[in-house]
Order: sequence, then structure tokens, then C-alpha cells
Amino acid sequence: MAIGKPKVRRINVDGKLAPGVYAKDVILHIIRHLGVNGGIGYAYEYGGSTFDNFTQEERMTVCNMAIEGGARVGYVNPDETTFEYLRGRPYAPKGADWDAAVARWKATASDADAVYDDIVNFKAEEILPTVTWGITPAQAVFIDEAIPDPKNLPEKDRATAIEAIEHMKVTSGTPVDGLKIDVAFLGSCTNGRLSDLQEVAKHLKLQKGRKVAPHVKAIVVPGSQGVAAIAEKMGIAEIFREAGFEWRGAGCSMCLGMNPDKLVGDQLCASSSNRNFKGRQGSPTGRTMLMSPLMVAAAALTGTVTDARKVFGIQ
Amino acid sequence: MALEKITQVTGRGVFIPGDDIDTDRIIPARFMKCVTFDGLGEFAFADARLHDKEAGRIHPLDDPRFAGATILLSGSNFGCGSSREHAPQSLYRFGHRAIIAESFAEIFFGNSTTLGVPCVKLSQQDIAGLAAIIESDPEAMITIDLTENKVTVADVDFSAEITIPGHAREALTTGRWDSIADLVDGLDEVKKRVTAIPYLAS
Repeated sequence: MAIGKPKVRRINVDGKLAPGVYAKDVILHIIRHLGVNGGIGYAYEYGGSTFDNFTQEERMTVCNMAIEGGARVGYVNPDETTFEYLRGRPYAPKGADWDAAVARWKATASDADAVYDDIVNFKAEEILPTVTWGITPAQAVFIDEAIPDPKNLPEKDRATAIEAIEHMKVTSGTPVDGLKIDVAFLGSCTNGRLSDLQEVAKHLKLQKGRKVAPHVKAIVVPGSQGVAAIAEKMGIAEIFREAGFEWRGAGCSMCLGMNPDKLVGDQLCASSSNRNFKGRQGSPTGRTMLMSPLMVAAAALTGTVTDARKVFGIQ
Repeated sequence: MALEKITQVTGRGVFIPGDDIDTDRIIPARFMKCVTFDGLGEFAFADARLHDKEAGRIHPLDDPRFAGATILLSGSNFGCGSSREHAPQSLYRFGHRAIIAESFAEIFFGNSTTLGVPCVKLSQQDIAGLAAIIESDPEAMITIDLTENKVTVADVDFSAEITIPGHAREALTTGRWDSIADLVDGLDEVKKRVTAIPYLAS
């Protein structure tokens, strides 16, 4: 067969995330530390108390980016949170079929004494809002950090860092907090779910009257038509519109620039998507900074990459 | 249905330096609105080539010295990012029949293998050595031998051991590198298996 069996790396995150720190920050932090090639040859199994307490949608955000960490696949073991998420959804089994399915799913979960090829541990309390500054998802820093100097990076990371600094038109030593953006994109399969839109809308509502910065084009693209319909019904779309965001049809949109939603020239985009490669958002010289949905909203309102906790008064 | 047994790839090489070369770089998404993969070859590394041209440089894929090269060399984590099959398809259609790198992204590796394009690993040092040979003599004929696990260059004293996962080597050298062809071949077994999978059987 042309397909091989991967090794399994267990990635534990334990503890409680601080307010304003999200699943997106967790996966950017993991990739920052394990690298974009750290997962080669592996499947990533995420666990620990942080994941136990995550909603299914938060888990999806992290699993979505296993590929960015180099792994072939990423998963969280199925548990009651998973089953509750699936119960009653379109195509979910019903009645006796449901019970049989749950039993089958439970049987696929790793045993408590499972042996892994590798185990990595992180503490939730150490994770802060994270943004990428370069052209790979591993080139990431906390919002209170500066663009690194390639000289201070491990030798293997230096060439890509130099290339990234050139493409991103940033300077080593400059704080990421304060970089002026042109576009804010809230959406994608990583962070275009209902809970993402709800969380941002909740905070926008508290900032009543505050608008997207005049020089920023801000678009919200629900992850699916189903999400779009629910969000419209719940009044979420209206909250975004009132704040000056464009509420758009569901789709991939500016994550990869296959439709007319593309960056123009070297525009800098605060994006809740998963990839910041050169040219990813449709312009060969376009620049992407990945971050959580609330960080995208903070960047949209202030016109700069900035700490969402300060913008929205989260303590 | 056994396909061509791929035990050796011989050809001239071209070196695209850099680590973490992602599939958006190999084939930007805007070229993916195609119904078939035909014609994707000309867009391989489209933006990088244009960028080099605008900067007055020549991208290796546009360098006449390396025209017609069939073996691509690069750095570590080649093919990372988006899982698009278009990436190996565009390289295949550009004319590449094997790729040598320090390491490969998983999905790119799988997609290439199922196209019959061997992705073999060499150390950074050996890749640099091979790149230097190509640079001084673009006509140098490189041979990747999957049976002997070696890369050699005709008339040059160069030999290096390659690494390729056992399952991929076996699939390529026995002509069983197309998983779908394998499934079609074993249709009776597939049907039998389906009855044992609860969510398919019901």
C-alpha cells in the first residue's frame, strides 16, 4: 500500500486559559514550539484538562491546524462533549443506531494506559494571545513580544526567518503590537464557526458605537451557510454590520483567494485563518498575520495588530 | 492492477533552495479552478518565478541550463501546508519524476507517491553536494535507485544513501503505488470488509 501508519504524539495542555486566550492561541503556541515540520511522521493526539474542558468547536480549531504543525492528522478522543455536539445534527444516527454509534466511538478512544511514540506537555497558563509575524505558522510570538532577530534563532530557522522579514516588510526588534493593518478577515474552516462569531459579537456589543477603523476593510465570512443562517437569526450579523464589518456569504473567501476576495498588493491582513504562506491570500506580495477571531476584531477596530484584552476590557 | 514498477529514476536535476516550501508556493490557489490537472505544469511556482523575473533574477525553473530537468531538489519540509493534490500534479506536469529533499510534508509525500513520483530524503550535506554538482554541470545525470537505496551521479564520484519509508518504497517498486487502483483490484475484499463495518453495513 502507498499509505503508511503514522506514529502518535500525545500533546497535553493542562490548566485553564486566561480570559481572552483562545483555542487558536493554543495551536499557534504548539506549532511555534514544535515547528511546522515537527509533526512529520506523526498523528497528533491532543489531550489534557484544557482539551477536556474545551467545547467541540474549540477542539476543531486546534485539530484543523495539525497539518500546519506537519502532522498527517490531529484528533481529540471522543467523549461526552463530542457526543452532545453530534446528537440531533443532520445525518447523526437516531434511536438504537445512535446508542450503537456512541458505543463504537467510545471504543475508538485511547486507553488510559496507552503508549505513545512521543509525549509533549504544555501549561495553559503560559499561553498568551499569539500572532504570526512571518510566512509559516510557526513564526509566531505573543502579542507583547517583538519580531525576532534571525541571529538569535536556531540555525535551521534562520534562512526562513530572513525570507519572512523581507516578505513581511517588518523589522527585527519591532513590537508586533502596533503594526498597521489594511484588511481584517474573520472566517475560514479554522475559525468561522458559530461560537467564533458569537464570542466576537458578544464583545463588539459591549463596545456599542465603536466602528472598524476607516482605513480597514473588515469582512466576516461564516464557515457554512448553516452557520450564516443561525448567526443572522440570532442578530449576530447585525452586530457586525453596525460595527462596520461587511457580512458576507459563507465560504473560504480570503483564506486562500480563490474567489475575488483577495489582498491587493502588499496589504497586511489580520486573519483568523490557518495559513500565512507567501501569496496565500491571493496577492503574491500580500501579507498575512494569523490570530484568534477576537484579535482580528481588535485589529479591525484599532487599525493595528493589538491586544484584544485591552481593546475589549477583558481581565 | 499492477502499474509500472518504479525502481529507478534517472535524469538531470534542478535545485530550488529553501526550507518549508509550501503548496501555495508550488501552485498558488488561483490556478486551482481547473476541471482537470492538464496544463497545471506551466503554473508550477508561478509567483516565485514572476517575483524573481521582476527582481532581475532567474528562477531555477526558468533557467535554460536546467530546462528539461526531471529530478527536483529542495530543503526540509517540502510541500507543507494545504493538502492540494494540485501541487504534485503541477510538478509532475512540469516534468518532474522524482523529488529529493531533507524531509517532506506528510500529505504532499502521500500525494506524490500515489502519482508514482518518488520522494526520497537525503541529508542537508548530501543535497548541498548534489546541488553543487548540478550547478557546475547541469547535464549531470542523477540516478535514484530505490532498490539499492542510493543516489549516484554518472561519471562523478558521488554516492549517497537515501531514506524512504518502507511502505512507499514497496508500493513504488512493486507497481502498487496507486491506492485507488489497489482498491479496484481488490473489489471483492473491499465488499467483504464493508459488511464488517457497522456504519457502512447498515
